[in-house]
Amino acid sequence: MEGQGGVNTVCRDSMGSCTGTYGSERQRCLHAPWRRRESCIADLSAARYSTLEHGVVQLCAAPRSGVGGSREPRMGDSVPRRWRSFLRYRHSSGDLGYTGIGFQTSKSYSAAPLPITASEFDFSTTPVAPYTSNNAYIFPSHLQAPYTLEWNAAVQQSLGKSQALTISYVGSSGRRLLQFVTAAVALVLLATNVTGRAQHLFDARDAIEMSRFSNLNQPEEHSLISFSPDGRYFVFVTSRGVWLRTRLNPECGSTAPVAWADSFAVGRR
Amino acid sequence: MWIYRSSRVGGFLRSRSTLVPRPRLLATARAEPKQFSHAPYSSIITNVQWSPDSRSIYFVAQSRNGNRRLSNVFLNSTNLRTLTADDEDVVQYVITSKTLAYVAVNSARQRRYADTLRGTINRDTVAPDSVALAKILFPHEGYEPQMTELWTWARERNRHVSKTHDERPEQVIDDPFDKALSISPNGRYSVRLRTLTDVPDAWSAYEPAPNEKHLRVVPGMQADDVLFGVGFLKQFVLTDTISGKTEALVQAPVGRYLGYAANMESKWSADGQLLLLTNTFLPLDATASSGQRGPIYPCLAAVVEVSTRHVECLQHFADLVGTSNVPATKLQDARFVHTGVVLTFGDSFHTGTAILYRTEQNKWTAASPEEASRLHFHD
Repeated sequence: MEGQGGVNTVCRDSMGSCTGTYGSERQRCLHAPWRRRESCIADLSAARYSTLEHGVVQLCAAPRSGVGGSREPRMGDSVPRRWRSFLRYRHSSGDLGYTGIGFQTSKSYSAAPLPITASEFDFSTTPVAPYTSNNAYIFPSHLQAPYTLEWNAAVQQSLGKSQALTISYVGSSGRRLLQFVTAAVALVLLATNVTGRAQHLFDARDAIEMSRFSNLNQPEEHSLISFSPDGRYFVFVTSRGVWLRTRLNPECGSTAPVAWADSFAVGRR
Repeated sequence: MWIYRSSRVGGFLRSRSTLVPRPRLLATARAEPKQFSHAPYSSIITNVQWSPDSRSIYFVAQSRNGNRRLSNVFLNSTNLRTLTADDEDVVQYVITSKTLAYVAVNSARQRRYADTLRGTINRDTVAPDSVALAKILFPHEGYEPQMTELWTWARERNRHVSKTHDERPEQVIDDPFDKALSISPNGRYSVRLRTLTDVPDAWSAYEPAPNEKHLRVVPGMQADDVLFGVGFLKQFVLTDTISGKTEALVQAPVGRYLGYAANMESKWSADGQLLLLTNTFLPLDATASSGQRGPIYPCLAAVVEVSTRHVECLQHFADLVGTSNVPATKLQDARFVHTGVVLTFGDSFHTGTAILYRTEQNKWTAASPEEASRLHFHD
């Protein structure tokens, strides 16, 4: 039996012992002494990567957990009578968190016990000198790496001699996801009073389109600032790019819907 | 959209206080941006204009379907009025004390028009910058000209002014140089730019900008396969807002599409008898009668007598353009004053020069500085 469509299959016999494992070993499943009815656990093949803007590569570490069950073969029985649960996790094949001149961090786990603790996700930064590029990536020293939890469950039911039905559920949830915020977003309407210090006239949460500023010290030149004909008032327009953030996040973070996979028996019985 | 009281900000700037004045939230719009934007984080509220009496503010804000709706808010209240229908995408608008005129594309009529051009497949597919994918892949097939309509809003009513048979398809783009829309003081006439369909042979005599020789006018029908249609020749037209009749104001193209980078504006004299146009060529007969020889350059500023369509150039591009498309000295402002017309020029050093033009024996001429001073004109 072989998973398809990016879903690898863990095959279990009716007693719940595994006869096959992930990906590369799935050939073993094909030669396993199959019984007529068995349940299999489907799993995603690899942790997903997502790429944020401007070269920031984000790793989604993916500990996995799942619930599976097996059913004793009994004619006419449609309800599972005995369920077993298990937990399983697997680290991603790529371990690099962020990289760039002056910054590199990585951490990987292998066969670590669950649950993953918060301290295990605290990646430390390791600046590496010398810095020979004009471009340097600078991160806050307290930056915590994002991660994704994924879980899945699947039930497989053989249908006749050569077919099986698998119903899989795959879920994921991102934590500490990075949001790329352009520096310009934080720049707002400025004014310099007689103290000589530039002051923010406006709350920095709101973005103002900066590309049209020819000179930050002359905000009156901004095309979005408009004085009333009598000069008593002026208005300006800001924007909050919420829509952009909601578009970035699903790259690695939103809970996946139920996933379906078809499986077909291959080989000779 | 936020509002500051100028006096409070001015007081803060003159003080040593660190307590910054706070703005008041005047209006909020929420929608996913669907209109093309040149910059990220652009606001969906654009084109803010004050009413002449400083009591209210007009602006356009994108709605959920991406159409830009014209809205209005009064300073002394938070009531927001939306002046245009949801299926009207307002491209430009201009206000006077009595009337408001706007150019819009009706999305329902546009959809039907587009369907007749190229069917319905992949119509909604857009690139990340909101340009239709078909326009990028197949400029000829994907070119989707839009039918712009002229509307007025007065006495709480919207009125479709331009006649359907008069509408010309054009590619609507956010051209910062296009400031041509205006309305006469009494609201009777409106001026705007409109795409030409058939270009006269003689217009090839108009001289393109120094480094844009490829933009020389090609006579005949304007081809649809010009990329995105942005290169279409346009000219100033005048529309009677009562009858809807539209006709060319100047029988010549504007300079923009021959490579002259300068604003295309139209401004009315207080009595509504004269129009001040910028960055336009003059009709060839007017050029010949003025004794101009050699290459025919556009006019940086020209005055048109509305009743007779007599047009006269105040300042030619050629005097400023040199070897560059953008003159070192730019026309910063052009306006009527009670004694004539004032053109204000500025250079990159922010030094400005204002020149007064006045009529003398039915001819516009520049006044000497002494004369300008005597006419009580001060910039």
